[in-house]
Amino acid sequence: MDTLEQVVLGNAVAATVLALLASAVGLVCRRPALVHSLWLLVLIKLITPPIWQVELFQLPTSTARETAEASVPAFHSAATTEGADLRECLREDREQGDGDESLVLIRQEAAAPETQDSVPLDSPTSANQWKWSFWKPLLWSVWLSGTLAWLLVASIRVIRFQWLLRWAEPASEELQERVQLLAECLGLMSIPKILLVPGAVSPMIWPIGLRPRLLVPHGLLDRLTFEQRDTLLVHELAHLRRRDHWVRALELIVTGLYWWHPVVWWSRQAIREAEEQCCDAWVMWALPAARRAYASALVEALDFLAGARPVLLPPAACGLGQFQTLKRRLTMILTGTTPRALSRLGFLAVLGLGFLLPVVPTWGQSDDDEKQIDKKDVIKKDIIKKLKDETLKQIDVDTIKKEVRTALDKELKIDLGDLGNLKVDLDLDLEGLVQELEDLGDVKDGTGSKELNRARAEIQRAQAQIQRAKAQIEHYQQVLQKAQARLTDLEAGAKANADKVIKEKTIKQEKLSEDLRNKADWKEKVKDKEKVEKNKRDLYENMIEKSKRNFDTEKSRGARSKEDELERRFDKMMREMEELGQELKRRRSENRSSPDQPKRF
Amino acid sequence: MAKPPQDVTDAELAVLQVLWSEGPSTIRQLTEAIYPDGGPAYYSTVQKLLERLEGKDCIRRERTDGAHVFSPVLRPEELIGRRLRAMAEKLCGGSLTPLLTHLVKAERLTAKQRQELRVLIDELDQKPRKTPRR
Repeated sequence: MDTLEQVVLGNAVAATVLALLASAVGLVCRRPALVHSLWLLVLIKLITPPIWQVELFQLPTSTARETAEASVPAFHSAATTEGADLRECLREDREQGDGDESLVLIRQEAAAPETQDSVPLDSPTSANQWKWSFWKPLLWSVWLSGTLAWLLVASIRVIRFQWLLRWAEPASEELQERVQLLAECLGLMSIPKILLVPGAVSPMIWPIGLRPRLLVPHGLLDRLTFEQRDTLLVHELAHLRRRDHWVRALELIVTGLYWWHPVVWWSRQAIREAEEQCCDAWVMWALPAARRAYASALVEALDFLAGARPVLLPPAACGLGQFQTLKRRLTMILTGTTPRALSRLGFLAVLGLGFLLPVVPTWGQSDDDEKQIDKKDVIKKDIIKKLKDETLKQIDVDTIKKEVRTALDKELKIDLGDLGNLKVDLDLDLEGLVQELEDLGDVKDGTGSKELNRARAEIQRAQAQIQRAKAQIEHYQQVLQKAQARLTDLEAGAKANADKVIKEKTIKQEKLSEDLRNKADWKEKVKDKEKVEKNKRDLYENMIEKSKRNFDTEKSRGARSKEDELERRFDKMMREMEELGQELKRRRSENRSSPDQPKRF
Repeated sequence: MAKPPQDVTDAELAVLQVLWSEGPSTIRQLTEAIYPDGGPAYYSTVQKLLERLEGKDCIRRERTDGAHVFSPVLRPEELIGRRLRAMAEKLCGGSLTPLLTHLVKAERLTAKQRQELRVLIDELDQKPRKTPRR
């Protein structure tokens, strides 16, 4: 970003210089073409990229220090005081012989703790730095909004004008043929389209579109003679021939980018004036006999323009300025010896200037400083090279210090007279050297360069991370194991439960079946018992039937002896019954042992 | 008497365009022509535009029985010419966006100044001319 701003500002400054040159030439020179080219160069300069750098002027040492390239690293923390300390120490060391070797450099290091990351400058420059970093984005946004607003306004106006041109009529055949003739006379390759427009406007070229259009107000045409008309047409065609519409495009771009630079507005105005004068010269060249006609045509156009809006009192500056310009123009037209184009010399001059355009001015440094810086550079580079050649382990603090000291001595001997400025330079250089030393090798405790330390720190951090990750993994593994154990427990428990349940079930089932079997047995027993009882009953009933019958028969045969007989029979019966009973008992015991035998009475 | 020409907005210009092409019309006809898909809200919009145009003396209202008929007073060339001139001024040198290359920019000269220029021409025409340099 810095280089962009440098380029922009450099361009702006150079353009200003060129503008002054162009206006000076304009006051003196009689060739409007030259003036026009110079002003055009001003515009072009604003948008040329920088290809060559040129030292414009010398600045005093302190400012050179601030703006010098980064050969001296930006390490300016409280440089003066630290430097003074350092020099004191070095002097003391030298006087004392070799005291504490690392003291000076450590002090240096301690004195400049955090200047590796931040860049605090000496107080005035640091303040500038701060302000610039604050204002820069603000300025850029202002610029951007200006550019966008301008582009927006331009686009809207172009669109509206294009829309209005729909009411324009194409010109008559005769007019078109005339324009064609004049264009060929001027050497114009492509003929513009001629449109007649309403309204009190000046004849003009409208370049937007595929073909540039020549707009002529038909109110004006009616007022002009043919000769006057020709002159006006030639004027406009001359604009086309000189490609002034491309200049409009250039102006558009440059104004968009540099709207904030007053030189842009100044140069636009100046270019237009020069253009008109050039085109007047073209008209004079093309139609030399029509001077008066051209001049009167211009005034007629003025009348036509003013007719729509009569101005009673002239506004203060503008009317007067335009009046003077017009007088000048008319004078040049009528008494004119205005050359149309650039002279050969002029052309070469403009070409030369054109080549110088891609130049960016920079501020240079004074010679002495340069010499000093060169020498210091050389010495420093020497030392650094020597240091780099040795391997890390072999860097010897003592030798380094000695070399630095000898270098300083050399420098001191060279520049004994200019101590004041030199102090600052030396200090800064020393600090730079020390910085580089630190970068290269061990200075403090021999454990390696800054970068190594940084790398180590990173490795440690990474290792710590790995440890943590490992611990996490272990933790998770434990958790997993516990979960698994729990799972197996649960499974075992479930299984045991299931077994128990099954066992109980089988036991129950066995019990049930046993019960069933028992019941079946018992039922059978009961059945047997019933059978036996039934048999017994049957037997008894048979017996009772039989005895009843016997009793009846006996009764029927009856006599007195019947009773005896009855008694006898009854006794007999009783005896038989007893016998039967005994028989039954016997049979029962027999049945018990063999139940399948048929029952016999 | 010269009235300062007032600018006509785009909407009013649309109304005028219809009047130029169709001739004198009523509000309803105008609404249908300009807003063919519109509803009753556009009727009042067109009415308002017509009132403004009448105030600027661009149209004339004829009160017949029934609807009022509007006819344009301003010719298209006048209006377009005015607008063209206004836009040309905005696009000429001296404005923000100079895109036009034109002949003269001098609306601010008084009649007196122009007369002076004419006199100057006459004077200079009489003088002998030097031979022009190439």
